[in-house]
Amino acid sequence: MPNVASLLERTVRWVRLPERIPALASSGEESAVDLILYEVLRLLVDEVKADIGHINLLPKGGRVEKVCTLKDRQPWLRKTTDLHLFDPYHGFTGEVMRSGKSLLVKDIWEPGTNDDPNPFLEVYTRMNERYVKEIKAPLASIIIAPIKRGHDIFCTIELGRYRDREPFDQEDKELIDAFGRQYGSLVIDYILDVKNRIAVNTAHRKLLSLARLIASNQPVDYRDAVEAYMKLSAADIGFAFFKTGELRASNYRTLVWQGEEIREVLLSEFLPSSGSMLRSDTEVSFLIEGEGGDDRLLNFKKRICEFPGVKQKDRGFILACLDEVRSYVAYPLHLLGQDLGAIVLGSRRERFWEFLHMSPFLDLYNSLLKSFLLNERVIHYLSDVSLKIHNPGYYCLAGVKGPLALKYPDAFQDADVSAALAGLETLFDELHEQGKVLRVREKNIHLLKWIKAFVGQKKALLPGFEFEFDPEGQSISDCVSRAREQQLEAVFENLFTNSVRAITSRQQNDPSLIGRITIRAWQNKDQIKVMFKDNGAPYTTVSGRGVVQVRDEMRLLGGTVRRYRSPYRIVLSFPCVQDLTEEG
Amino acid sequence: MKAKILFFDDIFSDRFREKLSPEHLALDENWVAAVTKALTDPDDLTDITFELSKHGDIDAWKEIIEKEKPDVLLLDLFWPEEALVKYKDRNRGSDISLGALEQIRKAFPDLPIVCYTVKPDKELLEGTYARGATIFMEKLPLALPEVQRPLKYVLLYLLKYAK
Repeated sequence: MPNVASLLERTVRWVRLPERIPALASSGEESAVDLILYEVLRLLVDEVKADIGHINLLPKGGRVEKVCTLKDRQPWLRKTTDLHLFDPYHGFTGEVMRSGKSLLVKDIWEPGTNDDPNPFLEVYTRMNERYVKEIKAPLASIIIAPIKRGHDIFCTIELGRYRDREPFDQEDKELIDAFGRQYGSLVIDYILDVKNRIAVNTAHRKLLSLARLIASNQPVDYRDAVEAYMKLSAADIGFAFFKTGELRASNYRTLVWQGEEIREVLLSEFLPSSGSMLRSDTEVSFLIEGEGGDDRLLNFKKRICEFPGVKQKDRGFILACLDEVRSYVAYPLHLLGQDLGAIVLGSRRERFWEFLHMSPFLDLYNSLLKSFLLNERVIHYLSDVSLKIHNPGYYCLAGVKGPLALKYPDAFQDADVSAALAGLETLFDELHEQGKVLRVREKNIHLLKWIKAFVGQKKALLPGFEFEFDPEGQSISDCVSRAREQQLEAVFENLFTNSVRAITSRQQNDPSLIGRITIRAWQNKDQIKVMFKDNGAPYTTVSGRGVVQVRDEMRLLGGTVRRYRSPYRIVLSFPCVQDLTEEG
Repeated sequence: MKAKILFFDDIFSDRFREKLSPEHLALDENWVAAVTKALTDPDDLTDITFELSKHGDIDAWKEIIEKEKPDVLLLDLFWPEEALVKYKDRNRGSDISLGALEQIRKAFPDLPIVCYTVKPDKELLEGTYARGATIFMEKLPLALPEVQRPLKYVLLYLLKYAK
């Protein structure tokens, strides 16, 4: 029997968790989740003197993953180990999922019997080799405890001891159970909430970037568009089909990903087969659940094998991905009779549908992406109508008028004929103008007013930060820049994102730091200068703090970007134009 | 007196011609023939013989102008296929010509430039003059030389009296 007094004494330490966790979550960045998880896991590992610990998240409609692993109290790298493929229905975790109760195993490597086989030995050969060697091989004793919402297990905590140590005992298991009962749901729910908040931010950023792309008439960056599905779904294999081109064209921009690798292939004149989810037929308007090797996948595989114009490497990758899929959920992208494509979320795990379904955030993103894709096509069609009215439309009309006036002047002057020709011309003018409505237009924007409004939005999104916006002088408020709002958004969005990352980076070492973003603006002859700085710390980047995009946009605006160090700050120079409009 | 007219229109651009069906292309050709006839037919009123040089490669404006040494430039304002290549957006056809116009004006400050388009709008009208057009006109796609003939008198004015 466990020693109740000892248990009580040990659980008292957990009381500090609810104070500690919100402080760690303040940045709202992805790193916040890791900070909280490792904090919780370290506490548990210390309490039962475990050598290795895992927290496994199993949210329905989200990523099923070993979100963190500690080995000898240190985070164990997981980037290259594909642990995202964690299968909660097999191994000892599978037993916990079935029974709903925690489990204590003295030696995970002990051979089972015919009547009572060892479930770990049945699955470990399918696990990542490095993972087995470094994490599983040294272990003997483990505890796996479920964290539940009602009967639904949405997390498991797994702790292990090396084989040269005493195995866990019942008291250790009781302790972990007590944690699960008292704080488990609260803590893990909180972690999931933070993850969801990050997911919303990710979806928000992707949608904003899509909206800007459409407003700019730049081609959609489909790789960027599918990143939300890669990051926010439980799929380890995915296919995205986006219909592109003219109304009658059947071209599909196809993105296929597995883990971190993604390939983009254009399937030109790819006519979907009868019953394909790419056709807007009523029977495939809703999501489809399927299995590896079903007719749908086999048919697609056959077509990819035979389809001309696909590079060998791309073909090989697509076929390999199709072969790996054991279960999938497909979401057709159909709207208002338009077949816009489909998203297929696949898994190497069998019957994994309930996890593969999109989370509410991803579902929202998916719906909005669908609208954006339709927008994109509508703009394309409208523009096409306008251009066709321009030529050959007006030339055809002139081709009727000219010969009529020359050869049949009486008919040309006939009131009915004239009225019909005039009516056609009016109709053409109207259609021509309507087609021009949706086009890129620059505006005269009062830059200071715009920045003030943008900072206001950011204040609402980043309540833990302080903002200082200081325009110098009265005349500057009248300065106008010729730009599209989306260009300004792209510039300032990048700068804010960089600052938040820099501040978060510093907060990891100094959680009490209040993030501050300072913007100053002043007029210098015919330029508006805007200085942007923060109180963050340098951090490692792949893309150079998004400065490339800022430079590109500023160049299009006719301005410049200068970057200074010590302290790090950016100074933007916008050309000031004369405001000829009433509204500005 | 002889005068050389450099005729920059996307009708002469291979990129644009590939997009039009033969039937539609014939309509455009008829318009070009009407303009050509209107400008080159001899008459007793003017002592100018116009020679037309037709080009569709607007990106090569510098080389073409230096080679042809025109007295007047006729510049179409809407180049959708070139805009598709340059901006991925056919609707920005006038940005192609306005960009070229601005540079032509800088390089050839005294060259008379007549700009025209099928359906003018205020923004384009102002943008064209702001970049140095001499005259902005509406293009009538009617393939009738008598309808196109007024252009001859505009050119005559630019050549003889506008300097």
